This record gives sequence, structure tokens and C-alpha cells, in this order.
Amino acid sequence: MKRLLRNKLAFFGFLLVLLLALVALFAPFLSPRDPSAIDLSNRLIGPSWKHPLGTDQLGRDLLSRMIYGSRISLSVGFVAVGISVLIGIALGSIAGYFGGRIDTFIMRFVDIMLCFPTFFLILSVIALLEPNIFTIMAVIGVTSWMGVARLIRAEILSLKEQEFILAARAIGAGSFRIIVRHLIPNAMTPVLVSATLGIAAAILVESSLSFLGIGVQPPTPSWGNILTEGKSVLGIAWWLTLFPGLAILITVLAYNLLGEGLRDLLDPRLRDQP
Amino acid sequence: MSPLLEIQNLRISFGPLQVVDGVSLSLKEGEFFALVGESGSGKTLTALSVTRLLPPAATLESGKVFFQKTDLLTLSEEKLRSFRGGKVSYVFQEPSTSLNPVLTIGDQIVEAILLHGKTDKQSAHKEAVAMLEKVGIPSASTILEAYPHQLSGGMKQRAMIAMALVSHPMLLLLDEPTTALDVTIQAQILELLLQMKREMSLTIFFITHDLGLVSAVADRVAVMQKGKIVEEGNRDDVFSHPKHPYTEMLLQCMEFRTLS
Repeated sequence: MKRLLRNKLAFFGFLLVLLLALVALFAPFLSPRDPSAIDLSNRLIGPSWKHPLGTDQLGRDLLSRMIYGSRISLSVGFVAVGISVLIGIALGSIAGYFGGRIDTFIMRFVDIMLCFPTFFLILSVIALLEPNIFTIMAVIGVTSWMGVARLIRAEILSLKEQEFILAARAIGAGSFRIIVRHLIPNAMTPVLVSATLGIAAAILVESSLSFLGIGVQPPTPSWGNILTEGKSVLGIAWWLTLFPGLAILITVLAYNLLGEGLRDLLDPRLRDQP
Repeated sequence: MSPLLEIQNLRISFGPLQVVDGVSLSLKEGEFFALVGESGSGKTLTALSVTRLLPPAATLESGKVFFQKTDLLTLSEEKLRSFRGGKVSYVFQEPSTSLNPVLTIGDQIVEAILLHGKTDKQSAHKEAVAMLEKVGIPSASTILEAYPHQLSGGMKQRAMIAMALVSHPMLLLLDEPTTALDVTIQAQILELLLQMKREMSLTIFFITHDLGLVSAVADRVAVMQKGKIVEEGNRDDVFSHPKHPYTEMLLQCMEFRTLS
């Protein structure tokens, strides 16, 4: 924690992440208005005291919509990464621990999954399913676990040769116990970093999908679909595009800074370097 | 009296390399048996093969291991697990790598208890404290909350011994348990082992490259070289009338060390 404070950029990222989480958590208290209250007499009003970030084509308050939109972005980020980390850990640890044919089978499956251009895979899956926030979380999760699986496998390959694993077997622990209790906790460091970076990526994918109109469906506000609505009136209402764009940029940047900071922090080779 | 552990004609290879070549040993109940040999002589593999803990690269070619008339080498993995850390316990060379770095000492000792005893967590916790105190760790309940890196080497090895003993094993295999420790700590650990052996009526299978270390404590000594047992006998016989030139050599090393 002390070293996290020393790394200014990472700490800045950490603060932003914390701030965003608080905003999402307390959205009902923070947003000045109901995000879906339509007010046709106040359409497309620029930033003012009454509407700090302006209003959209239906007169809805942009700030409130963005505050509620942060809930979507963050929850998609967390749940999608949660799913991908779970799948990645399960498959990666099985592959690394048992080795041999099981390993070959799982890792070739990883290779095959990596062959697909992920975004188009997501697009085609979403096209078949009903696009709502849950399918988006699930689809992003099941298409992004391969990196985690590789990381965990690599860690476990070296960890399982360690003497404490032999010692665990010598006290009579079975394979499942050794994997879950002795190997995975020791292999979590790189996963933590990759998960933090993965949240940024997932938020970006969700925004892109919503922007293309196959993500979170209106009237539920999401940064991506606010952007889409703003696109058509870009000439006269710049705020509808600028602010959600900035929000996405800052969020992704915050997670990336935090993730890179964590990586430097947890990598002993990079430790204590100026 | 029938032996507690009997190894018959054990042969282990690493690919084309014959690392254990027809080893036969038998341990009587309650004795302190020392297997001495230089590194690479196959002594560790011999010990590991007792509960089939050989590394994947090693092949067990032939041989039998009887523990109280049960052939451990043909037992199912499931049944074998009840022997590992149950009636047969191990302590390894490097205490700093034999403990899981992310779990507390307590977690690991309690795990060893729960794997074999039919107790709940709370009484396992109490047993762990009692055992740590028994192996001479002061303020045991604080140590229970400590992570391995917070303890000294000697402490860690004591904790390892506690972990091996919580299941009240009959046979304790120690693979160079003192090699990574200071000389003074070595003596303390040996002292502790002898005390535990008396109190818990253990049979000890002690592996070392240091003949001097076991000269005072072992009942019987076997000398191993290049995968074969070259000499075996009561401690006094081996030490005063070595039959094999290799044993003589080891003894000379020992004298050389004491002289210098």
C-alpha cells in the first residue's frame, strides 16, 4: 500500500476508480434529476446551472443519465471480468496441474478461441441472443478468459514443482485441495493485474456494443448509447458526445493506470526501481 | 518381531538413468534408522517412494514397500492418501519452501489435522497449539497466526515437525531436515526429534549426507552410494569397523572436519 502511494499515476488511477465506484454506488443520491424524466420544453439545452451537462433530445438531464450510466459500465466491467477470471482460473489450473493430454486439449481450445476476432464473435453471439445487460456481461466474460487461463497455467506449471506442494501431498491432500487451496492463491498476483486491465477492456467493449445499438437498450442509460443518441445531433449539441466520451476515456484510463501500477508493484523484478 | 517398514528390491529410474538400484531395507518399530549418502545417491527417492510421492519424471520399475504388511505401492491413490500424513509423515529439507507462503502456520497445521482426524476446526486449533508447544515453540498461539516468512528457519522446521506429528504417525521420514539450518539449531532439532521419538513412540527414518550428525543418535545406519546400499548395520559396527571403502571415506571426511 505504501508503494502504491509512491507511484503517483497508479495512485491517481486508484482514486479515480474509487470515485467512480462511489458514484455508481450512490447514483440515486448524487443525480440531480430522474434520469428518464422527459421534459420536452427543455430539449437540447447546453450546460447550465440547471443542467450542468445539458440535456438530450427528450430533455432528459445528461448528468443524471451519465451517473446512472456509470452503474451499467462498472457492473458490466466487474461481472464480465468476474466470469472470465472464474473460467480462466478453472481451465488454466486444470491444464497446468494435470499436464499431458488434458493440458494439450485445453490449451488448443484456448488457441482456437484466440483465433476468433473477439469483437465479431461477440457481435454474432449478441445477434442471436436478446441484447440486454446480462447477456452482454456473459458474452464478454466467456470470450475473454483465455489470457487468464494462460497466466494461471504458466504460474501453476512452476508452482507445482515447489517443495510445499510435495509437502501438501505428503500430508495426504488430494488434487482438488492442492489446486484450490495451495496453488491458486499463490498464482493470483498476475491475475489481479490482468483482471484490472480486463475491466477497462470490458467497459470499452460494452460502450462499443451500446454505441452500435446492440448493447444496453434505451431507455436504460449507458455511456455507449448516450453517445449514439448524441451522434445524430453532434452539430448542434456537442455536450451529448463529449461528456460520455470523456467518461469512457477517464474510466478506462483509470483502470489501466491502476492495473499497470499494480503490475509494477507486484513484480519483484521491477520493485524498488526509480 | 516383524518390521514396521520393509522395502524390497526397489528400483527407480530417471529415463535411462538407474538412480535406485535394488534397494532393500527394513525398519523395526521404534528405531532411529539413518540412511546416509552423498547427493544424487538415491536416498531421497527411496524415501519418497514409500508413499509414492516420486516426481513424475521418475519411474518406479520394481520393488515392494510393506508398511505393517500393507503393500503401499499397489494401494489405490485414495487409500494411500490416508497413509500420507497419517501413519507415515514427512519432513523435508528446506523449511522455507516446504510451507505454503500464502497460508498461516496455523492454517497449515489445522489442515493436516483435519485431513486425518475426525475433529472440528476448533479442537483442531487447540491441538495445533498444543503440538506447537510440544515442539518447543514459545507463544504458540501467536505463531499460529504468523506467515512462514515471519519465522526463522529453525522455527519453521519446528513447525514442519509439528505438522508432521499432529496425526500421531508411526513412521516419520525426515529428508535432510537440518541441512538448511545453523549448527546450533541442528543440534536442537536432533534433540527435539529424540524427545518426540520417546514421547510418541515413533520410528524414525532419517536421511542425511552428514554421517557425523547421526553418529550420536541413530540406532542403525545404512550407507548408500550410486543407488545401492553398500553397507548396513548397527551404528557402532558401522562406525568402528566400516566394511566398505565408501563408508571409510565418509568417516574420514567426518574426522577431517572435527580435526579442523
